[in-house]
Amino acid sequence: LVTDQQLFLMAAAFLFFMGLGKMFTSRSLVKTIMAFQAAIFGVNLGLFAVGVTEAGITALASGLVTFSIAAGAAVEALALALVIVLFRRYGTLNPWAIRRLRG
Amino acid sequence: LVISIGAALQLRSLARSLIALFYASLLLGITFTAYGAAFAGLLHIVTFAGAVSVMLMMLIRLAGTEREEPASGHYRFGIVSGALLAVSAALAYVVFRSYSGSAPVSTTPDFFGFLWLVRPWDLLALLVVLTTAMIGIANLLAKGE
Repeated sequence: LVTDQQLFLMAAAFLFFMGLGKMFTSRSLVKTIMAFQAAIFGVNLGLFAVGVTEAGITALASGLVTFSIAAGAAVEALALALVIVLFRRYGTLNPWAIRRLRG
Repeated sequence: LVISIGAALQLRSLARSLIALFYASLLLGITFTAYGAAFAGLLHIVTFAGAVSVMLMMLIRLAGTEREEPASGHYRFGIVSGALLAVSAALAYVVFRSYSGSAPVSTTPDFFGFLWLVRPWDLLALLVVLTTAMIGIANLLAKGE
């Protein structure tokens, strides 16, 4: 009916867009970072799913997933650092309040 | 996995969202490992369920905000987001329902596969210690809340 690969790809697309949607609507920067992480999970799962064969996972897909994990974690750490700077400056993690405070 | 991430994104409590996201990271890493990408799976668990979760926890504690603020007139973004989600789910189903997959490339034993074959206990021990520590801290955080 539906193979594992198709199931993974569907789940990957769903995770990615779910994370993307929450990133735009979140009222907390911590939640925005969590949504970004969900989108990264979707990308990782998609890269992984493309390489799934009957014999196992291809080396290229495995390498791409490893690279994606490293890049995603680095970007997320940077985002966390920026959020801490914003919190110290504005005293809130609500992006809408930060926009109002900036004037 | 999808349910866990959905819960992580929809829960108001940031600590509970973090715990749900931690379990999602763990599930995704186990999926990678079960399908033969052991190194990618373990790296995923160590990075996201370990390091990133601890950083997020530290941020939540530092900021002292345990809950996401309630909505205040930004409903249109929620509607747009919901519509985007529905369209993306439908598109994902239509596009990937008939996806035939990549060509059957034979997998070659790589370095990481070799590492997994030779030293699996080191990696498993690391995984068990990390998982136990993270679950304990996350549950303590939830109780403290």
